[in-house]
Amino acid sequence: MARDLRSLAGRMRKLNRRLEFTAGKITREAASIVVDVLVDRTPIDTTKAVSNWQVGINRPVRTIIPPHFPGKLKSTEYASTRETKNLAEEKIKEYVKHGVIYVSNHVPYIQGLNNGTISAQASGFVEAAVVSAQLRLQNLKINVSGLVAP
Amino acid sequence: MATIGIDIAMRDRIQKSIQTQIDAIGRSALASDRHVKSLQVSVNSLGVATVTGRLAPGLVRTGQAADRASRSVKTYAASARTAAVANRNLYNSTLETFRGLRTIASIAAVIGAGRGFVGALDTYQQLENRLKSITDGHEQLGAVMRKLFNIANETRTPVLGLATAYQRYDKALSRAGASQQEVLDFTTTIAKALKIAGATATETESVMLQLGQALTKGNLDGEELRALRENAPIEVMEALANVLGVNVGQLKELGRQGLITTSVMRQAFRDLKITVDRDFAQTLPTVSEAFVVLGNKLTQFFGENERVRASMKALAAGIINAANNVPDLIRKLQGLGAAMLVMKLQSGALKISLVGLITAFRTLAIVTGAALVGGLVAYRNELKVTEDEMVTFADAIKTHWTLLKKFLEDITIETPAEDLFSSDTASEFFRASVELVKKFTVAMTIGFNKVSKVFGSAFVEVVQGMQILWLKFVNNVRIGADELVTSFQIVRNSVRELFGGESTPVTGLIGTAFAVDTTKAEIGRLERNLEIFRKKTKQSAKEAAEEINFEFDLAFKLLEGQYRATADARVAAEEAAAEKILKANQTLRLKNRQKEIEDEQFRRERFIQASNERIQDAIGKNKTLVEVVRAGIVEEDRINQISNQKRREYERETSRVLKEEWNAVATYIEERTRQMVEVVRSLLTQISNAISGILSSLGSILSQNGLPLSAALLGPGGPSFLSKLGGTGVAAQGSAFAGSLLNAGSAGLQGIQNYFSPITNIVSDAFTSGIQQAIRSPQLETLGPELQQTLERSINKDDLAGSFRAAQVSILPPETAQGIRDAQLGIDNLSSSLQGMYNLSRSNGPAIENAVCGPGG
Repeated sequence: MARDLRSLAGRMRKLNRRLEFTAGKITREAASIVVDVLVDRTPIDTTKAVSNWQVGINRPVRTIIPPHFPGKLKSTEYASTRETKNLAEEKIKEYVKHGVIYVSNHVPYIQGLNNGTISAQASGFVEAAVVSAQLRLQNLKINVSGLVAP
Repeated sequence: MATIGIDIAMRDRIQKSIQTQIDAIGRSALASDRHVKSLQVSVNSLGVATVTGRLAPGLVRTGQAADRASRSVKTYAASARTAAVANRNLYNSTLETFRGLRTIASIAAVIGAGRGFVGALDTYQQLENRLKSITDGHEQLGAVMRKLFNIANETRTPVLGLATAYQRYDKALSRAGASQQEVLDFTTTIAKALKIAGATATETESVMLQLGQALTKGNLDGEELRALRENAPIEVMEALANVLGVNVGQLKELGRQGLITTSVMRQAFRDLKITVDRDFAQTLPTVSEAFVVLGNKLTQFFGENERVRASMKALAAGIINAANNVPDLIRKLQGLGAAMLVMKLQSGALKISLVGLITAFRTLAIVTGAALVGGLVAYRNELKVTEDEMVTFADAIKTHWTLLKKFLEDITIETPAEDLFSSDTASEFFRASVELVKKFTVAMTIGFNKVSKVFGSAFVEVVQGMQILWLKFVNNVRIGADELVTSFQIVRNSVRELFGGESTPVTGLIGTAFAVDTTKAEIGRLERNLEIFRKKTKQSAKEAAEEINFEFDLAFKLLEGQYRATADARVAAEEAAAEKILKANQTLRLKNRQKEIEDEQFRRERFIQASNERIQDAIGKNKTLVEVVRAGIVEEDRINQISNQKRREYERETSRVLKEEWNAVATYIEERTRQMVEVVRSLLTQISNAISGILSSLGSILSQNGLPLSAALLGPGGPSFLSKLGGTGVAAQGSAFAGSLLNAGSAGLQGIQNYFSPITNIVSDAFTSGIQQAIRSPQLETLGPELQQTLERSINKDDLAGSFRAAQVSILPPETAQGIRDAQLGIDNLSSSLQGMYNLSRSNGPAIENAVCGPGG
């Protein structure tokens, strides 16, 4: 409760700052959801495609890396997906506010995987990840002191 | 090489309107805070109490001086002649002094009530003095001052503070090669940035000072950087950081290293200008800022008016002269004739004090009215009349100009105040003042009840402030009158002490007796008059206060009624506007719905097109019909990203349609098969009947003619018959003929059987391949789009059946049909041959019989 008009003005300034902070927090949350869904839905064989889901702050990561745990016929699926998620989470934590979080994958066949023309698995997982993030964020309740779980 | 990867970007964007609203609340709170304080200051500073408060102690001091003078007179009143001369001189000097005092009172009134006027002159002078040091010549000085006034009015900042900042920036930046325009832009940008950040006057002054110091020493660090970080908007720090290519957090360290130089600051503020101009354009002036601008304009107006400047000098000279006269007055009072002074004081000082008060009142009325009107006019386009900010004061002026003009006339013309200004006694003064208050409040009520829409609650506060002012004014007049009386009493006591009281009488001197007699008589009269005056003053003040309160209450009630009417009208207008908006929204919704329908139509067309392409592709790859259709559905699902529910609906619909389609296909095939079976059965029946007929005829011929023929051939006459025919060979020939006939019949049947066997097979194969071809043949290209159309529309079974009819050709290949026709022809020929043989045997039978069995036989 503001004591007088001046302190009310101060509270408004703080509220705006807190709002920016909260917006950053929501963005991190969105990025985490997107990474989770992408990693879980990417078709897997050697785990190269799934390992290449990488997070960049303010600029996309365009480099292609070898699989975290090379395998065959999903033999290293659990290890690589877990490592991909861990690395992404670590990077997402670095983000504060006023910027962009990029979730990128630049293996040459990722578009084909997403289009469903390479793998037998269901296609459109990138769009599905974005939609999942949107749906989950719609249910987020926000107050100025932070996020409340959906 | 172009990247073919995937980048998903997520950024935190807060809806700008939310932040703006929160900012606006903060700024409004600050502005309101300042407004409340400035109102308090205004009420205090505008109070005429200051005038009367200054005047009354002055009169007390005058009385005390007279008292001291009266004590000193014992020493100096040695000569009546000298006294008489001194008396005359004193009288003249006193009148002169009173004229000075009158001037003092007038000035005091101006200073008290119109402090802004003198302040404006003072500010202008200070402004000019500051800028003289950084400009060359009067012309440049005038140009810079005009630009600074424009910037101050644009940024709603006090001009003196702005000029001080400009002076500092100019000294620093001109050394770095900056032009005068760049310095002006620099000053404007920082002033706007601070205004956007909602900085208080103190914070603004502090930041401008610190920035000036930073520019002077060549880099921004330490205390200056801290002040800027705390009070300037974040955009300023971001601009500095951008120039240096770092983030805001690193500025402190770079400042410590001395890297935030003057050139960095210049570049940052150049970069910042566009953003700040844009953001500042979105801010609205507050009422207190409107008065800041009014102050700037008053300063400019009064400062630039040479006549006013001359008046100021004359007034200043008057003050100095009057002040110089005070010691002279005291010195002259030390002469004789104090009684005469008292008498003159009785009639003169009172009048003069009232004149001072009246002048104060007049000035107050005019200055207050002018301030209000000036503020309104200066900000007519910026001040918003209605809460929805759709109507400006200028609009209201146009509507209510007639009333406003009348109000202005009521306030500014002197006629209503003539009685007041010419009143000599306190009672007259109060009566006149009450009348004027009545006129004033009535004028305000009539004229301002329209204008009040402009000010809203601010106007109520102003009127309340004026009410307090009036009450203070009356009260102070009463106190002043009290003090005036007290001062006269002090003088009276002193005179009594001098001329006949307990003190040593001054006798034997020329004129003393006269003075004593006159004074004694006057003292008594004065005492009574003073008492009456005191009582009347108190009574009048009380009555005036009551009447003023009454008038203001009345005015407030009228205003309240007007506000209520205005509020009701506003509510009605808002409701009408809301209804209009509702209707507009409904129209918009309808339009949007229409657009959605069109989009949906377009999307469906795209879907059909894409599905057809898919189906064509699938057909080309010889996929089954179900796969073809499923390909279409999958394509639709992927392209349009429809929800699972919708996709399920499509699948259900497709299944239903397919089922109906296949039912139609199955029914047709079944029907065609049945028809073909009937045709073949009919053909076979005909063939069978024909063969049966032939064989039956043959049997009949043989049964009728066989015995005689056999007897003829095999009987006693047989050999001769045969020999006639050709010897024994005839019998052999007859036997051979019969055998050949039998053989021919058997072979014919076998031939027929052999002939029909492949026909049956061909027909059977034709059914199978025909149906298969119907599914995979080019006719399906026609069927495909139709089938897809059925996904969206109802099925036209006739058309579908027509398609299948077109496929009929494929069901019975031409060679098969020809084979059947050939078979029929062959059978017909065979039948004809057999019939000929029968006829031949019938016609030749008797001759043969006769030949064989007759006498010759």
